[in-house]
Amino acid sequence: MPRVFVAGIGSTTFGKHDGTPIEHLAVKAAAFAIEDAQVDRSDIGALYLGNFVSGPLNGKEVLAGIVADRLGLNNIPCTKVEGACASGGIAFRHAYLAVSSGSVDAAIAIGVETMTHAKTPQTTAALNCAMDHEYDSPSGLTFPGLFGLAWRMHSQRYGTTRDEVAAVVLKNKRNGLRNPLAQMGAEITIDQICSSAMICDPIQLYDCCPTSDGAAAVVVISERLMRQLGPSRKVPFVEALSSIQTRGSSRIAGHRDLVSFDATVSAAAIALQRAALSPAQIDLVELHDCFSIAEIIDSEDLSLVPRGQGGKWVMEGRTAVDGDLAINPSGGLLAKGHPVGATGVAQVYEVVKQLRHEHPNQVQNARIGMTHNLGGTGVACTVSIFRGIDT
Amino acid sequence: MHDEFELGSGSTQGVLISFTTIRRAPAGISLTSPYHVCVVEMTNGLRVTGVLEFGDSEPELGQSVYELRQDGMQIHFSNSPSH
Repeated sequence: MPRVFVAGIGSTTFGKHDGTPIEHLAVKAAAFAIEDAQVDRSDIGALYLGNFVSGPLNGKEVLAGIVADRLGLNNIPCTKVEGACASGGIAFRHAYLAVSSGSVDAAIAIGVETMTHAKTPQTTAALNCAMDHEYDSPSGLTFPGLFGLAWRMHSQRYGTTRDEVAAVVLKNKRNGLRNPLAQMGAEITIDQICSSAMICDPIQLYDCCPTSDGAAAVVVISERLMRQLGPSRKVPFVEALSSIQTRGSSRIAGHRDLVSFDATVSAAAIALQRAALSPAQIDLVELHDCFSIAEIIDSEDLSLVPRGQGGKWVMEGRTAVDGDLAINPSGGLLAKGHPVGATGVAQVYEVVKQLRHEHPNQVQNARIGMTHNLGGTGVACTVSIFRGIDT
Repeated sequence: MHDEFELGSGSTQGVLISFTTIRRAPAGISLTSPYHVCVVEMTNGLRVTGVLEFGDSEPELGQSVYELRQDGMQIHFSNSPSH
């Protein structure tokens, strides 16, 4: 398969962007990425935009075309993709496929969401659109509730403790302090976490990622264009070794096991196989920690941590920036924030910064990085793997 | 193969896979907070999501639960057979 390279990345800060139209955030991130890539806008042959709730929360659709228009990207296919929280990862994968198929020499993936202007019931209703309304919603289940179910079962089966799950929050909040794009980096204590409001037992407020506004963008290019640009580049390219999308059950009771998401397991296995890598070769991962327990489950599903050991690894510092495997050095969704449609693209942004060795919370000697983006009740998942290279 | 579940499939008893307590109901749900949501594996092997009503004791994962009633697609269970 033809090789694909990340040439440019861009991002807004994550947090509150009061009054900023959603398309403005997307254009800002995309303009940063195009400038960073040092490609001519006429080289970009396709645009994919990940977004989940611009309709219900902003009353805006056809965002891909609107954003391309503002960017001056003329007469190219512009496609908005939606896969709930995995929308951004899916957008990236489409851009990757457009280049790897030979259809275009360059494509841009953008992820964007604005949520903080909406009241909580409105946001909850919009996000619950990712739930199966026929089978799951009648029980009154919410997304924090899904992970409350998973946590209780993980604790029973593997003995995962409250302190181990809290250690995920402590680590990611601390990582977020070192990331200028992050919304909620902080030095907090276990007592603060354990005394915060109960949301869906055993999930408490600090176990939940915040709602956020933000956008991120990535320009991917062919090997031909990479070689053409190479001599004038000041920053190294990053190669996208694989980008996989899978489907899991669309309803909660359809999962074979509540402490594992099949879509993650299969996406990681295929992505590693395509990249011809073993899990031990991954230096860092930006994974989908929408709730603290999710990081533990994801790390096991991705086969990066032995099954049932996720809590112990974080407690022992093995997933810290200077640990065996750095998990979410950006702060993850818990601290960086989760503007839903932007997250998957932002994860690529963070990994590329690490593989260029220019991240403010740098993983030393980072060479191979992974991203993991999970949507809905585990119905959609993307896993992508990257390698840093010098021109 | 599509993993179909049809209500009224015969089983009225199952095993409690997991449960949680929702402190704030989403819009459009006719339940008073807090309420408990569960995943149950019925004796016929099908798994369903439902509302759990506590009996005399705190439920434990793996214990038997019993279907109390169905309100449309909303299935109510209890961990007490005499609830």
